[in-house]
Amino acid sequence: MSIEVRNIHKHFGKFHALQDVNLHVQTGELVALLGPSGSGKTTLLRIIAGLEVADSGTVLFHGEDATDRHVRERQVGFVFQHYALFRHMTVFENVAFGLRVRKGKAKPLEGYIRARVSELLDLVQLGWLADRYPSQLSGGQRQRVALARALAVEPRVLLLDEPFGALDAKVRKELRRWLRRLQDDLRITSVFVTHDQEEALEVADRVVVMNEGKIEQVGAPDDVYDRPASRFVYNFLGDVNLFHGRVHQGQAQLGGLEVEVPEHNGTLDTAAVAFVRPHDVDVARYRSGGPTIEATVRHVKALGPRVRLYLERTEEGAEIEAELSRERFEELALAEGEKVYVSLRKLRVFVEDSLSAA
Amino acid sequence: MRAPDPLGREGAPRVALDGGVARFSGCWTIGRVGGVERELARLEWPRDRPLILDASRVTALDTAGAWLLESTRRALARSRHEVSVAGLRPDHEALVAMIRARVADRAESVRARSKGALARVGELAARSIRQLLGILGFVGESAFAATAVLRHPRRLRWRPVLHNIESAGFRALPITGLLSFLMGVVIAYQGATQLERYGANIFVADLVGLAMLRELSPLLTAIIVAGRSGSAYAAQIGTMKVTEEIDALRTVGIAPFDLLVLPKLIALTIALPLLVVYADALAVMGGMMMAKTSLGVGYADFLDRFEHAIDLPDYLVGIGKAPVFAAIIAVVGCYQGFQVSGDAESVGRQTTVSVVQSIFLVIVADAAFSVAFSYLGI
Repeated sequence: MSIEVRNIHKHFGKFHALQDVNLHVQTGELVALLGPSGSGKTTLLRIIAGLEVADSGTVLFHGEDATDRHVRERQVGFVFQHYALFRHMTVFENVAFGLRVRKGKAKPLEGYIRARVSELLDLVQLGWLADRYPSQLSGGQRQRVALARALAVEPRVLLLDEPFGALDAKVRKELRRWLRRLQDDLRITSVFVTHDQEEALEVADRVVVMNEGKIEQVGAPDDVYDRPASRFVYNFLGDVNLFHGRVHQGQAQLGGLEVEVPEHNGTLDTAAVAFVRPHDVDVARYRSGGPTIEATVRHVKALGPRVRLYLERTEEGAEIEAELSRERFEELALAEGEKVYVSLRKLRVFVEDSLSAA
Repeated sequence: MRAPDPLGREGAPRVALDGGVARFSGCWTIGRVGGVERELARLEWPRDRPLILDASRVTALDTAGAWLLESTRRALARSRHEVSVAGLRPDHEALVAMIRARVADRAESVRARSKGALARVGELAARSIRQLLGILGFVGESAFAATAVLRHPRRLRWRPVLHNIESAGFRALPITGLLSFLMGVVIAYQGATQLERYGANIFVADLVGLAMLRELSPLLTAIIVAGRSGSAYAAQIGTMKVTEEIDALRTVGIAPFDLLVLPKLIALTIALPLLVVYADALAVMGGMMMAKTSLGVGYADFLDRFEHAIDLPDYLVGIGKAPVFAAIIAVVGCYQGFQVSGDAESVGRQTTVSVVQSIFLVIVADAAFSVAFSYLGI
């Protein structure tokens, strides 16, 4: 089932949490809402679920207006950040609860409930824990129970609010691969909220980057990462170095560095900022042919297979972060305090008017 | 100051005053800015010309440095200097702007705190009215849900009702019984010293009977239940709200009101009158025992007098108040539970509020009953 959100506005007191948000989620798609805290992503998710009411705008499920439909009637499965399992019920009862509470004709037979719950617990690989209570489970297990509970009511849409936010890094990685596989098998339209860009890029079919109540960019993970639409998106999806300068007729002057920027051919003498990812910064001991920046190595930090260098520009003292592979670093054999030449493999220049728009 | 420092302390923050221009240089960061703060305090700022704080040679700036820069500017502006900051790099500019906004914020909140007495009274009144409207709304919702259930009794969830009767009623028997018994003892003892003086020993039965059955026993029971169950309701619902279980219920397809409020309301309106009956009995027993030991009134004499002293209406008046008290306790407890927002601290706060409010409202209601009964002559 597809979800469409049109012109949603939401205020909390004076705070404008969502400003004219429009979004379309295709049937069977897994979409990530990505943004810093306070960007309105959870609010948007709760409005889709019907847990929160928008000030204005419409929510459509499968093309039908569902704005005034009650949560109950929207048939959504919701997974909460802190699991929200019912503490006084066993794992089995938690999952069965949504089926048990149905009244009248909709109430399924006990045999069906048992079969359905066991099937779901097997799906989340927790069949052996059916008789335990939530407090006896680990965080990762609890979240899987919560997912099983959400799936029990046969939702047409699955909504996940920072599902892995409270888990440790390793479990989180495991669970997100598992979620991806589950989504591939079940093909339920899913929306999940996260502030972890890695998670969003790894799991989702499409990523929706949000900031200050607005959608900054919607696109496939590669798209969003390689072709960020705005300065914010660039900044948010991974670390970034900034170079301030000016652009004139396709030439960018970035503090001693001159670069061709054909996409800004028509720009006349405008202030600009260049964004460079640390892994697009190359470091050499000697000046090579292309344009380079002189810098001093301030710190060296090894992060597993990568080595991160914190460099200080000789000219203006600004910091540059560079990320090298361990082999490259060993080849260079750099020590703190040494002078190096920095070249930029790939950079993206935003001129002033797009800065103010961002 | 631009020349490399001969001591090798490259990048140490410096300030040099040259006419009206203060040139700042070096790394204005938290580890290093302390020295320059003292240096700034010693500077003699000229009065006869506009001052310029030139930050163009600041190589690094963090919030500590930005704060120092900004507070220097503010201090100068306060002492009637004409002062401006120049030469900040764009990223430093942003940092200073942020600090400026924060400092302004704080000044604002200090101003907000020192409001006049009148404003505070007004705010308190407005808050109380909001609270009252909130509770009234909740009462309306409860009534609406309750009538819906009365029309379709099969829709009610009986299991939680029974569970609540057990926890709020049955489990409260020992404490209610003990306290009522002691209350009977206390009343009889207080009466005994007075009655003995007039030789009116036998009237202890009137005293204990009327005081306990009409007034004290329902009130005492309601207060115990407010402390035991009202707080538990607020804490339970509040915790469920914090852990998002309430939202989880809604997504699973259950109205939290039907599952969490109605059963409690119904259970307590059933349990509290029963508790009062039990408390009445124990209180009379306590009084009887005290009458025998301190006044020498035998059990048979006591009960004989008791039958004449107490009419059925006296007894029913006491029990009749109980459902009203029960409704107050359940509604206030649940309402405060739903008022919890955000963190665990809020659960504790609302729980306390629920107990205070429900006891307050119970006593107010009791007073209202007394006025009404005396007017009606019951």
